[in-house]
Amino acid sequence: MQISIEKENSKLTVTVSGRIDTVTAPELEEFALEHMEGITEMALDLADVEYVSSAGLRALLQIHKDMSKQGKLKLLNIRPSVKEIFDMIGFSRIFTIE
Amino acid sequence: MDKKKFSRNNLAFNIVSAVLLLILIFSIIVSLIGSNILTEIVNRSYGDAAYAVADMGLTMVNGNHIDRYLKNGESDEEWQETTRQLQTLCDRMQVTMIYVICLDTADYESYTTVFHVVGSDIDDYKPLSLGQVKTYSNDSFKKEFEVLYADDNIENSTLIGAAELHGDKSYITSVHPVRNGSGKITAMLCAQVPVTDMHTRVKYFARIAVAAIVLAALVIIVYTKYIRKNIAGPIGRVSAETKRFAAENTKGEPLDIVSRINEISSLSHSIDEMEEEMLEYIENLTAVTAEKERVSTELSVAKRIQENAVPHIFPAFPERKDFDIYAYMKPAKEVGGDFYNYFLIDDDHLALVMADVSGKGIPAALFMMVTNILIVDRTRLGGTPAEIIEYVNDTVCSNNEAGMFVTVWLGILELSTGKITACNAGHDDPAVYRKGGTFELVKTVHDIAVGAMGGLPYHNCEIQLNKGDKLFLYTDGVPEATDKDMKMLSLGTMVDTLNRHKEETPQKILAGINNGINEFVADAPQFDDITMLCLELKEAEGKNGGMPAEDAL
Repeated sequence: MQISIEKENSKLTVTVSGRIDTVTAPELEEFALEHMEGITEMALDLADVEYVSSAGLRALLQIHKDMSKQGKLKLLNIRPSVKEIFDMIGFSRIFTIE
Repeated sequence: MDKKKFSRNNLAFNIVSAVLLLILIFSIIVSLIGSNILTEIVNRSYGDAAYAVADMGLTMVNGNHIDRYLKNGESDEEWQETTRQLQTLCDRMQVTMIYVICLDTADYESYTTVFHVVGSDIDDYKPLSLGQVKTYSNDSFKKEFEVLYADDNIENSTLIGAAELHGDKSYITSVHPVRNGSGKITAMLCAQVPVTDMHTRVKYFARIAVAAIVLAALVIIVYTKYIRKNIAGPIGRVSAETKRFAAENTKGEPLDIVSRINEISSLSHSIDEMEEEMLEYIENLTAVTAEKERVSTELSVAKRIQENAVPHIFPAFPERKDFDIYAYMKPAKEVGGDFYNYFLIDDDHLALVMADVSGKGIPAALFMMVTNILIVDRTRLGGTPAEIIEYVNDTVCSNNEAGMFVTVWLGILELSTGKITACNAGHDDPAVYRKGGTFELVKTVHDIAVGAMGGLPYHNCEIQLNKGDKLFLYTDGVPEATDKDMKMLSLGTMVDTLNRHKEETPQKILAGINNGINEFVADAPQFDDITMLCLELKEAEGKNGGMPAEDAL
């Protein structure tokens, strides 16, 4: 998994690529938490994410929960295979997916 | 310790003996060179003196009259005059003696004396008389004379080092051929000078050399003490301490060596420090190993507790002939987050649970235990699956700081009608086998996983089973079983495998799927928990109850 960020005032775009699984999920969660201060709008670009495991979903859920205290979280460019997982687990209902 | 001091492998011994050997070799070389140079200088200066005397004497001797002197004897006036002149020269120049001799040219063994004067203050020698014949015993002298006689062209005198040059009484003799008018050698004039102070000088030199060696020895003794105190001693202690530590692994007296040599002090300091750290490390390691063992024991107990938290004895309902059920659970680690469950709410209602907690290991297992109990207890109180899950979700979310969630498929099967009322909280869609047909995934409405967010509504859905139909529930560990190239089994393959075993009993269907997974995964380690459950609604009551318990999958 690789992470890159783009920050514009209080808007943060995090681009993730690779797999978000048991090994990489804590890394993503920690990374997001580190850069969350003062952010009101966070976007996670998942265009290059091919797989999200349950641990990955947990990390995304945690980021969503943390962000909802101070602003909004959007998920961008989700691949159909990953969207399927979101649909299945019911996350499509709580995440803003664009 | 004393024994060590004399060991040949001892550091101090090695250093001292090497230094000693070096000094000795150096002294010997210097002494040899020194004494050679000294001897040569002395020889040359005395040789020069003898040469000068002989050269002067040559002017006094008439080479033409040698035969006449021998014939006339001592009464010859010219001989007497020449003898007087030579005597004066001898005294003035302080030479031992001046003599003129005729050698027997046949073998140079003997000679006849012509002139022979001895210094007035010399007692060792007595002048020989004219015509006296003497025999030479010194071979090197004979050779010199032979050379002189043989070669008429040698104008220069030849220096002959006397015997016993280094003795108490050393002499150097300069020999000049005496020639007659026609240039023929008629006699040999020899001037012998005493090398009086040669011996004293050599002795003096020897004394200096000995003093130097003694001084060197003293320095070595002091140096040895220095080495022993500052190098060999400390190194010996360091070596003994490390040997002891390696054998005993216990804390010893700190070395605390203070040496004039910084490296030695720092080595001792480092050893002390290293020992301390090593002991700490060993202690830690022992503690960690013990802790690991303890955790491992606890985990194996936890594993059994978890296994016992769900029904695991098959056949599950041997008295029921209207359905058959089989389930299988294989955590990726000792304990896992997946679980299945089934139980009769009443005679006509069977509850079926398949769930998957996010993550693996102990946290997932703890979360699994909580949700399992909540679901079972709440289900027994009655209500639809959606109501039950809604309650469980709100309960879990009210205190879920770990942010974990669990996907749950909960169904209540009305055995008499085959109607399943189910609620899918983010779980994989079940596969249903229709009698005479194939296994197919049945997609129903999906609600959010339990624990993700509280206060959300959940929905019921219905699946109608007929006699002879089968229901297959599973967690994502099955379709996402991963081989060593990170390739996943996929839902398609799972359904295909199900269909290869579709006519078989629930137990055999699960065995078939499990074999399929094992073949696909091969040597790769198991990534996720694998859990599955299969239910068959039997065609005719009383025909064939639950399958006899075979070996676990």
